Amino acid sequence: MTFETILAVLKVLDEFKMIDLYILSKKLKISVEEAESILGLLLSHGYIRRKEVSISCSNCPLKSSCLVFGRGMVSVYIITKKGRSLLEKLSKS
Amino acid sequence: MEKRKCDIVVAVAGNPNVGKSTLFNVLTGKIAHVANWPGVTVERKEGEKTYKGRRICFVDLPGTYGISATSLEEVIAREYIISEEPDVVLVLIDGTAPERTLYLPVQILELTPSVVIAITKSDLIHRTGIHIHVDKLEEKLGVPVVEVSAIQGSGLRELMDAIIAVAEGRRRRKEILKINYRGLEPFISEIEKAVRKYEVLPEYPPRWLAIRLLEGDPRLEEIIKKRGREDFLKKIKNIIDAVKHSIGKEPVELITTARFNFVDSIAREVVVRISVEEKEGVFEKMIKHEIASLFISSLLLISVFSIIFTLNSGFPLNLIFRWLGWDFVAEILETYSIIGLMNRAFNFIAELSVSFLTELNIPYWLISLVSDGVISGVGSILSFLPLIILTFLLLSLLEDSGIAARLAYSYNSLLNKFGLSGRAIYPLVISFGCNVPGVLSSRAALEEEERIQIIISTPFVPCQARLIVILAFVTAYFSSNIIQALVMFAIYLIALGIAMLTSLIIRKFFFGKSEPPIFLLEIPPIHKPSLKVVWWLTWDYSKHFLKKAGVIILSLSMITWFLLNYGPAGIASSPKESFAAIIGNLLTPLLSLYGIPEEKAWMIGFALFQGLIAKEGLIESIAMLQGGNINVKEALLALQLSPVQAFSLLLLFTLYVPCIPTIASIKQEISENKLMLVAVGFMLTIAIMLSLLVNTLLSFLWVGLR
Repeated sequence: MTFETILAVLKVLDEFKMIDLYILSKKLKISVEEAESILGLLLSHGYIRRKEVSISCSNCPLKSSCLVFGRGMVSVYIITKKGRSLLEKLSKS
Repeated sequence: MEKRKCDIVVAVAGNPNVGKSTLFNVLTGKIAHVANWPGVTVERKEGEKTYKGRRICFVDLPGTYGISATSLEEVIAREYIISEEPDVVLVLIDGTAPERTLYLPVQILELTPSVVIAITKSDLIHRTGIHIHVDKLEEKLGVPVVEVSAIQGSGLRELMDAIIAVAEGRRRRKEILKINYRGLEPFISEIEKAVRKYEVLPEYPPRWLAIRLLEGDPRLEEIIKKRGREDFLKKIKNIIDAVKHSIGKEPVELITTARFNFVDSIAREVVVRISVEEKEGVFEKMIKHEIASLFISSLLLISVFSIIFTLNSGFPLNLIFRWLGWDFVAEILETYSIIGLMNRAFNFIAELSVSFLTELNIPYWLISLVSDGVISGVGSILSFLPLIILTFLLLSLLEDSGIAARLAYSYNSLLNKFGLSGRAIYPLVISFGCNVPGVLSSRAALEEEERIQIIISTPFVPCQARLIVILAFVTAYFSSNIIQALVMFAIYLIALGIAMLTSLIIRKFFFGKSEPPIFLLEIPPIHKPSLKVVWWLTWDYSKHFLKKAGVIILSLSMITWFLLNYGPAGIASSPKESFAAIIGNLLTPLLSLYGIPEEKAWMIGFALFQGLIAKEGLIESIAMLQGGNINVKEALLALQLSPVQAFSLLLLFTLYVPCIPTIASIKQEISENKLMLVAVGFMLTIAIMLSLLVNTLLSFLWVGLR
């Protein structure tokens, strides 16, 4: 695993604003464990934060194809100011 | 919290939602004090617990993902660890998300070596198909790691022991954790030197400070500025520029990558995830059926353990073959069983060493010590190892596949009547083969009280060695097949009854609990077991046995060798002159209560002593004391016992302390000498009192019938 993958996670978070573990792993084609490990690293450095959100989309017409439907409370990850500035700093360099 | 009032101060750190508050409340019982952290509105909880005579104070740090000081909570946690210097930092890892929560303990370990790690939610880990190799994680991080479940109360005793051990320096790391930051290392050293030279922030560990400054830590930079040390900050900036210039990367990139690789490599080694399906199969449906479940579970347990015991020593298949009259098949089975082959190997080694040492003109006592003491002691330890490996291999397979929880569920209501949960079925069944793995598998218990109940009660279950003694006495003293079967049934029934009653008495009167353990365990879905996980579990159990019980078995074997081979006049020329015979003689007044004459009583006393090494040795020593040239039946008959005496003595032989390896296992599992001695004393008392009572009652009945 290189720093590029860690950076890719930050970029995805920056792009999508809010994402959960499973969608993130699918998006980057990495295992759930790898995604979880990178999220742990980014959390511990304060580059992202974790938030528990309630999913209430039982009436949504797209629920059959929805990745997060039916899971009740879902943990999502959001990039922080510190994470965004790291991204900017590294993009410049 | 006033440090002087506490023997040990523990700071509890962990990610949000890791189960910190639940564990904190379970550990402390109640929160002693709630206030805010100085100058902020973040809640500070404190509590305390008295354990093993020490007053242990807990401080609940705010939930944080790291200690990079990017939030108020992180600043509080970090500053507390640095300024208050707690004796231990208890860091929690979420067992259901180990890869994500492993960073906090690693960051804290880079700051302080006084860390204990608790893996929380152990009750949920297996259900989600996650396995964490605790021993390996301990080895990798160099600090104690304990799996706990605050809901079930499991692992709490081990956690408290680990906290004390770290606080008292017995299990503490010598220094902080040093991750290899590769190309950055020379720059880290340079900053460390500068930190010492400029004498800035002396309260912080220099290496940790150097890494944080390279990463960029606005809070630390602010403190340095406040102390008027811009010159030092300028030096740091120059070093950071040098890193960029020479390596071409930002230091933060290198540090982040190195820390990720460090944690990721550990996670890959210690965490295994298995995909589990929630779908219910035929087996699952049958096992939930009230009547069918008991039948299926019993069949499964008996079959599997019979295979293991047969592989180990031939038992119980050898008995079936002998009953069918196929003695030669039984002999082949016994000879080529693991124990049979090991005995031959150790006898060969002992003979070889005797002839080798004799040629070197080594004194006889030393030759005997090597062949009968050391080699036989090592042989005794190793002879238990295959059975322990096989038993735990099977238990791990059952556990990891999800079958164990289902079998336990089947026996739950039955064992509840004796103050046990369904999980106690494993130690009980295993004990029929051997009490050593039976006692060791007490770890299957749901709670600490149940574990102690199992450890003290399972040694009453007659093991395979005791079956040999029972069979020998029954065939010698009872001629009719029906009476033989009835006697055997009675002995087993009494022994099992005592085991179950012991468990109930301990729970009710020792622990003061009237309810059985609550079977809260969620039934995990059945899945293919991971061989890696099965091996971890098996090897960990076996390693603990070799390390702890092995030393005790070897020492006690040597002491027993001395007592059997030496007497007041030096080397004993006959067993009658040995210390063991003197001890046997001391038992004469007790044995006279059974109506046994003095000239026979000392032999039984000696045999009881010999039986401590292995119960089957009891029969061998009686045969040896009768001259050695007669068969077992003739030797036992030469004791001239009445059927009532034979039955009462059989009860005594079955119920008194099983053997030295079992005592060693009890010691390993209880770890408290006092409680271990109480357990042994209890077994001896029950064995003597009950066998004497039976002897008296049956004697009256016998006289009446005549």
